[in-house]
Amino acid sequence: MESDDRIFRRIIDQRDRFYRMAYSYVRNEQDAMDVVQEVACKAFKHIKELRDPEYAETWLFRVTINTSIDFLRKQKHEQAGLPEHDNGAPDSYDKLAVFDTLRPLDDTSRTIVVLHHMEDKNFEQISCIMGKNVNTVKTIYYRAMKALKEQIEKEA
Amino acid sequence: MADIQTGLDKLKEQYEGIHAPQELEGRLIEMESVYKRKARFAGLKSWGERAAVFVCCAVAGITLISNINASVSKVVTFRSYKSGDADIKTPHVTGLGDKKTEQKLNKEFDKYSDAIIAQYEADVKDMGSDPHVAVSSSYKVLVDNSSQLTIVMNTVVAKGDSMETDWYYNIDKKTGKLLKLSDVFRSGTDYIKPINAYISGEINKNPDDYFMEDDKFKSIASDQNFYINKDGKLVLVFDEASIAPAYKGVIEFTVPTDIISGILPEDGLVH
Repeated sequence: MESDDRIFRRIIDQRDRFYRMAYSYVRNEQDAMDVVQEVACKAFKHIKELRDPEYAETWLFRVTINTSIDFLRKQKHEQAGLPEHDNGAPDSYDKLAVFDTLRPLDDTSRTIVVLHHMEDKNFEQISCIMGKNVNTVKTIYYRAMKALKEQIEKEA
Repeated sequence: MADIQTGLDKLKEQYEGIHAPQELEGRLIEMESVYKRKARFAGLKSWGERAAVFVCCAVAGITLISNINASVSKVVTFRSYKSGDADIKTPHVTGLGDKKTEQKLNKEFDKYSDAIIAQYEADVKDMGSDPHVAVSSSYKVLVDNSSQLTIVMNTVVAKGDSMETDWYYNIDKKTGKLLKLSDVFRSGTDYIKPINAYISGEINKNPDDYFMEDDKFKSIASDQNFYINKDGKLVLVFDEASIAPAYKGVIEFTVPTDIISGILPEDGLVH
């Protein structure tokens, strides 16, 4: 069990992970930071429930995803492709290319692929994070992998 | 499948190469700091609440005789605790006229201080050889006249940053009762609605000075902290970081009597 204020330390230490997930939805630096900040704010309100580290991890990803979706719904932000990034740092394009490769996937499929391959979550964990049946997660995943394979081959 | 695995590995590498802007760390650290302030505030509040509950219990069912003479009631420093960076003064009331009530009231002041001392000693123990905690708690007699005795306990706890609370004890000398906010008004009247409307109106005049959205002021509490000042005006008190950013300190609203005059008793303390 973690003490109450450890949840903030967890979010701060692992902010890149939640930022990337938020970014995969909102595609904008400022908006992704706003999402992570809102997640931290929500964590503050549920701090007593988040003492179990494993549950906290699941909760944080779930809330990051839901907050991102809400954010898009509310703001109706244009997804204008690649944002201005890091004052034109030379490798920024390559780093963000991951989202171009994943672009053919819808939000749910992309998130399942990201959680499985980038965040090393198993299907059970993804099922908990996304609130979907395990078999549904697997079905979406395999369909997504087929589409992703085609995309990777196309890019190659 | 080898190709897709290579492709996925590359995607993962690209994904992990994305880092949040430095600004995010600053924003989150600021939030952590606000949380810690609030948590500390909550700790302080719980001491105060405990003390307030004890006092309510102590006074319940007790009616002081009505001929208490204000000139003989005194508030003195009964105990002074000094240790390291702690300076905690405990008041005792004498000459209230009813020894039983007086003893019970004083016992509750003792308990209030005991709770603060215990918290301080626990903090020092937790922090080991180099404790960074300072606690100051003292009292002030705000009003002492023929009908009213109001004492405020001021407590400041500093652990990195500081948090201040003021807790008010209003005693109606005519009844010998430690007043809750509802006791200020005629029995059965709705005092919450006009007070909430007044405070919301004041906040809306300067919204930048207060929390908005989720933390925005919604309603006064059932055990709302308050006092009646020497002019007989009702003043509502909100602790640091409860309805406004912590740097604004303790927030007070003096309620104009005309907005509550219809629900005040004729011979009440507020006028």
